[in-house]
Amino acid sequence: MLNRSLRWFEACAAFVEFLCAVCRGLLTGPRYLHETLRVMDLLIRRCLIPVGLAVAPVGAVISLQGAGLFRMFGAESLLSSLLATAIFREYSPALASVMVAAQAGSSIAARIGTMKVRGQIDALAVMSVDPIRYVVVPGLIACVIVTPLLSVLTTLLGLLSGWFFAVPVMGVDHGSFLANLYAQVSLVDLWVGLGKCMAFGTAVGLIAGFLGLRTSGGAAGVGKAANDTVTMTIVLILVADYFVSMALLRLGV
Amino acid sequence: MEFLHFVRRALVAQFSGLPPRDEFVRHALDAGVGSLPLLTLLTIFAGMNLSVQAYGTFVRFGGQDLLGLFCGVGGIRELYPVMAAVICGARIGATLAASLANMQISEQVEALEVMAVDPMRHLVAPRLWAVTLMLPLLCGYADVVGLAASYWAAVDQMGVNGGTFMEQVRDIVHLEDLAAGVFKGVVFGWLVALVSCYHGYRALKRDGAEGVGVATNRAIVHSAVLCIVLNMFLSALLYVR
Amino acid sequence: MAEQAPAITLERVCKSFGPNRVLHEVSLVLPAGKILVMLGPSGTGKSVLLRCLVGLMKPDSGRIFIEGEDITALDERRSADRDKLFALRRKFGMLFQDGALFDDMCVGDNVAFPLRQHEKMSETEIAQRVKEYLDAVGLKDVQRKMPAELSGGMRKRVAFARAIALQPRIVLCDEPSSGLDPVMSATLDDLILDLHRRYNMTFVVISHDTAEARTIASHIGLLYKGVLQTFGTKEQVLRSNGEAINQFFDRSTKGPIQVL
Repeated sequence: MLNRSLRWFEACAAFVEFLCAVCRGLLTGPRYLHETLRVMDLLIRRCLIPVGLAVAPVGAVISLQGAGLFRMFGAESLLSSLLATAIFREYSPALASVMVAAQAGSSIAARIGTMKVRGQIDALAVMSVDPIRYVVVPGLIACVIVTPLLSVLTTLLGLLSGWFFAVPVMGVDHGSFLANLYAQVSLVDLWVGLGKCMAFGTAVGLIAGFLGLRTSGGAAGVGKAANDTVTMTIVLILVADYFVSMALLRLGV
Repeated sequence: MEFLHFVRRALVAQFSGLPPRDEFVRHALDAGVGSLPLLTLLTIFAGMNLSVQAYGTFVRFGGQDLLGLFCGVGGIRELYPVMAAVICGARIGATLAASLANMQISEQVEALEVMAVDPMRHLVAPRLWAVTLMLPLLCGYADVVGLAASYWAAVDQMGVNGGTFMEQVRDIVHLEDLAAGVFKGVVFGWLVALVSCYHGYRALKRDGAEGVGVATNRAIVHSAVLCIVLNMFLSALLYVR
Repeated sequence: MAEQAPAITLERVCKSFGPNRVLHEVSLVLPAGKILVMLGPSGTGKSVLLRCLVGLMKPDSGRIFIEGEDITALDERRSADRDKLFALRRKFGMLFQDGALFDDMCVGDNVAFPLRQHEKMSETEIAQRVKEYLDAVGLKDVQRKMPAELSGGMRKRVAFARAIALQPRIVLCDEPSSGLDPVMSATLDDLILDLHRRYNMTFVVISHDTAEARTIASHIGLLYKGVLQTFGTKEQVLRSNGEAINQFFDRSTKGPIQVL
């Protein structure tokens, strides 16, 4: 028990130290812009399909269940407003981030973990290239930029699939669907969504880098790093999402 | 194509007699009990999120009194089974893929074959059974925890009337919905286990540590995406009339 | 008749991966109860040859007989053949390069594993056998340890104990000396000789260590670029003065074997 709490403290201390190193790496050079662009390109290509595939069905399911609910009250025309608000503000950011965590987070952690296990991280340090600047920071920046971009795309996809299930499948009127679509969303919702995405993207990049660098124990350790990254970020995203939504609700935004 | 071949072999192994008991129990405990802390934490927040976010959305239409309906339908029919599946993919699936991949690259799978033990029956079948049987239970558990969490958030935080909330849940959620959720759990569990085992099994010795990372990553992403997409089709099948 | 059949017969075995020719028309006959050391530079198909012997891989052409039975005729995808293949594999024990011990079992369970799978024995009998084999490889008080806690040499010795647990007729060793210090690899060589004397098994040892070949081999083969350059008893091969074999034993860069 004591041992475990000691290890926990050690991990926390290591994380703080890691955060400081990352901040230093962000604020001061050398910067590896080329590496950052390469990681970004890789992330977009790897995440596009999974994220799209994960968010599109959510719009469909909201339409499907929502149409049934609203029909009971004869308020079918409100369906599209519900869809737009839910997707813009809540589901698209959260799900896009969860999928970025699953895809990008685990692959970044696995890549850094593999480098660590094979001694390449030490090799970088010996060649006096700071591993944090070279492997962690580019991944972090890429996550922060890519997540909102993907979220915009997934919002559109979600609305499209929502429309498909509402209008042709459930028989909601096309005209009233379009008319009410933007009735309840404002620019603020868009910004809230994008802000959440950037915050969640930061979490993904930081946790993946941290756990990747802490990998030990050969090939099995690499799998564990990738796995832990995903579960930890999903927990963090859901918990943070709750408090953000709560705060915004209280503030009346 | 390769996947279909694997599925065929896995099915043969899964249904040609009982899986090795010790292995099965170990994996069932790990998949079931091992997932409880994470799943509990996540469904509590997902349930509260559902309430808070639905409230925020409904308030705009003046429909905040319908929260119970929404939480019942959205949660039990859709969110909790998918949540359980995605968590299952992220935790159990990834562990399965990583352990199998690790066994592949350190030649442990070949060692089994040389010892004339069929790795499909010894490794894959117990994992498939364990996850397929455990996930529906986890789904049922998530239903209870999630509903309690959204009740708490709605009543305590939002000031929705508790009686109305429960009445609406009882009105809209029928036994069939619970059964459908559990059914989804069985399908997702089997799928997650199959996809994860496939990616783990496919790792090659020469990939080394990298192979384990790739297998883990693919298992998580593919099982999450497959479950979410499949959920849409299952819902369309179950609820569109 | 089965008594007299050679342990291993290869007839013009070929195997390629895409354009990569890994084995080309390899033929040899190894009598039972001998120790063959197969030498060759890294990446010349030695491991592939080993995997073909146990049917983990299938040669593109040619045939492999294990004690007179054709293992290449068996198709793993057909269930009847699969049973035959598994029955045939029980004649083998195999020592993998890094041991391939199961990480999630302790040492005792690792050695007991093949016994539990294939023999109907009581747990006390199994415990006795496990102890016997661990003694044979010179390990004591390690039964409850996990593989991760052992050193490389100990892991290999445990793997050895597991490989011989079913008292196989043929033991295949994939680079037993790789990654070990000279003293430990000499210990493993002694172990092979000792086990050979004690259980009269046939050994096929893959190696690039010529000292090992001199110490333990009764037969030596040299594989280079997928072609079996030399094969024969140790005396024949050492006396043959073949260019390639001399280069290998002299550790010279000059000769037919070229580094790519």
